[in-house]
Amino acid sequence: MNGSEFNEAILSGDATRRNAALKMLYKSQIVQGTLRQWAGQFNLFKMEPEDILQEGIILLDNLVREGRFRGASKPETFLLGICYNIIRDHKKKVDRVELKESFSDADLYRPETLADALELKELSAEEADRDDRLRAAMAALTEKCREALRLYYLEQKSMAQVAAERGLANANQAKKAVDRCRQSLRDAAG
Amino acid sequence: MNNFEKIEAYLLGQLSNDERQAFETALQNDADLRAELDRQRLEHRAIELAVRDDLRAQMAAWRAETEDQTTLTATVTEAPPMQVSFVRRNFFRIAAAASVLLVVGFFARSLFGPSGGGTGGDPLAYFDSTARSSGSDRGLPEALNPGLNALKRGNYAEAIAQFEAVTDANYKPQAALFIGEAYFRAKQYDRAVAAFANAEQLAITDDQRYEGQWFRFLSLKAAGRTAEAEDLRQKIAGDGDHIYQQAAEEMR
Repeated sequence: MNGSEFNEAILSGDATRRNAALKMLYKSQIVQGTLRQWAGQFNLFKMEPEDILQEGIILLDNLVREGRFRGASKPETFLLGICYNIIRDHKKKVDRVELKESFSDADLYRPETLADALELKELSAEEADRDDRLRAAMAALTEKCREALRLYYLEQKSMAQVAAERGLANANQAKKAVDRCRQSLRDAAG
Repeated sequence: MNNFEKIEAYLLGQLSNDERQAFETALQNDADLRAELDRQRLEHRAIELAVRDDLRAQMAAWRAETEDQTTLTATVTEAPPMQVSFVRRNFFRIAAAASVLLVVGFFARSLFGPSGGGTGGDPLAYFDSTARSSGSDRGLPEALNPGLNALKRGNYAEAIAQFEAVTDANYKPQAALFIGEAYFRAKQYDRAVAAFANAEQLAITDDQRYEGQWFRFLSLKAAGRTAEAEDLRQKIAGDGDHIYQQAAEEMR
């Protein structure tokens, strides 16, 4: 799967396609073998290669969903670039990946050069506390609410599509349901 | 476009440059708009966290799928397949060392005591530490069980008949080795030599071939065919890949 296909799968709004693309990346023998090699090379002791792989995939998924992924690169290379940055700079609690202004397409072909073109933003303590509160607020919602918000925000369904999937009468009913869920979330988040 | 929709479009980067600049100007002058932006940012953040946590759970499930295969829990390089055969080689070297005792014990008896079978000190007793006839607990195929049971009972003629009746080509090499063992235990060393030579011919794996050679050597020694035994010993000792190479060296 090339970068463009990966990009398309993540942004398709089709959960099955998105999952398949991410699973392919997760199970990539090239990615796993390279991470094992780096684990030995950098003498990791507080980070497990598995944890780095998962964080790398989460960050790459976020990058793609926010429309910031450069499809010219193979997704494996981009993922390894993120992971290399995490390992080399001992990053903890990385929240998002930014592409530096000096980023060029020439950086895309080797993880090590790609790592230099990325900036990994770490969470502050205050932001980490905020996230804990938000997770608790999401957990307080009903499953129906979480599903409605997921369909609208993650899969970017229209209200008509949300209505169809949730078995609601029409788009107006779906909008009212989503608005109620959003209000519940705000109330729980304080 | 109402405020909610404008804020959504702004957060998702869907506004044109002009629209974005106009919106940011409006934000500077409208506290309520800024508060609403902050609330919607938090909603987006909460959804983002839920998406990430779902993905973590999904990856945990994928990992569980491949737990037996490839994992990244170790921070050292995964042991390459060669290490398995290395363990096997160590096993065979231990077994080979015990084989040395078998032959040494045999010659000691020949020099200092009566030859032939008997009780304590019987060289065949040393064969047990190298013998493959320990049954299915060593992962031997079920098809060999009738012969193995006869071998353990000491009914060598029946054991040979049972092993000769094995027709599956995959099991014939192992059956041939057991035939050689049965002849050796029956002190029919010349027939054991022939049986182990046949096992070498039938060998599918290198280890099977090495075993055939090694036990043919021991059989030649037991049969008193010293020159042939020494030729074979030198061949084994000179083969760096041979699993009994060290044992052959020790018997120089």
